[in-house]
Amino acid sequence: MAKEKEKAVEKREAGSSVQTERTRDLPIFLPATDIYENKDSLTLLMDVPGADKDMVNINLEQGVLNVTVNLECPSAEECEPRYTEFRVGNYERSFKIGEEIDQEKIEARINDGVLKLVLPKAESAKPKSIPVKS
Amino acid sequence: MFTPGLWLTGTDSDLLTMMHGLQDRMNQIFGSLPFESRRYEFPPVNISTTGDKIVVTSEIPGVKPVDLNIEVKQDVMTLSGTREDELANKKEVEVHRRERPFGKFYRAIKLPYRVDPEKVEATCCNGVLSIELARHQTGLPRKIEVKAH
Repeated sequence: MAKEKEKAVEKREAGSSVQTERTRDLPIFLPATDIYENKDSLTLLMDVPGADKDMVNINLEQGVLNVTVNLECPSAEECEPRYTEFRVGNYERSFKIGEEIDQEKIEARINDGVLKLVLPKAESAKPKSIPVKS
Repeated sequence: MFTPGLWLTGTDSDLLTMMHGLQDRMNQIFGSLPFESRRYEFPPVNISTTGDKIVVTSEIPGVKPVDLNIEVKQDVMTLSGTREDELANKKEVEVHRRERPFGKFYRAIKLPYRVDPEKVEATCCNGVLSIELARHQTGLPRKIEVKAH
């Protein structure tokens, strides 16, 4: 059952925590995100289907990482929708970053609709082994 | 409605008609729910029609075209493949959050009408798959003239 649940997908719409009003009539979704950390960096993988590199905006300010993706308005083709499981919209999500990050070395890459963000830890935040003197 | 007798007396084609009717009814019921309360298998699909063409779009971020398998038989299209688990080979990492689905997926989608398997075109751009399927010749509507005696 747990596995079934894992496989199910759902686009979550951004909540009302977004205080400012939107100017465009497109829904905003929270992109599904994986986050992992090793001793050198923090990595985020985000599903943003439909986005290419020019549509992504990444901002790290006062420990808050903000990612926004503005897709171009879907072209109004003369298609009659028969069955709909997903809607097209923009993406927006913010994370509080606890670690000290070396802002200059943040790397972002987008491939096949997956945004990969590598945030290297600042030297001061890396674990150091302290040699014990006898 | 669903009595065993009905199932037993029905021929194969009756059963199919009934199954299709049931599927339509299910789609109606679930289709009327607001988006927020619906969950789908990966990958989600949209189906639309234009003229004598069906356009199926699907969000498959991170799935490489080589890992994707599309098959068409009459009015059923199957979409299967694998979504790589990018965290599987990572060593010495601490995983904080895991929301992206991964692994094998399989979906069979009933199309509005029978399509020509020779006339299917699929493209994938930025993690969005788009498949165009043309209606099969036998399925084209034909005008029938009434002869006068």
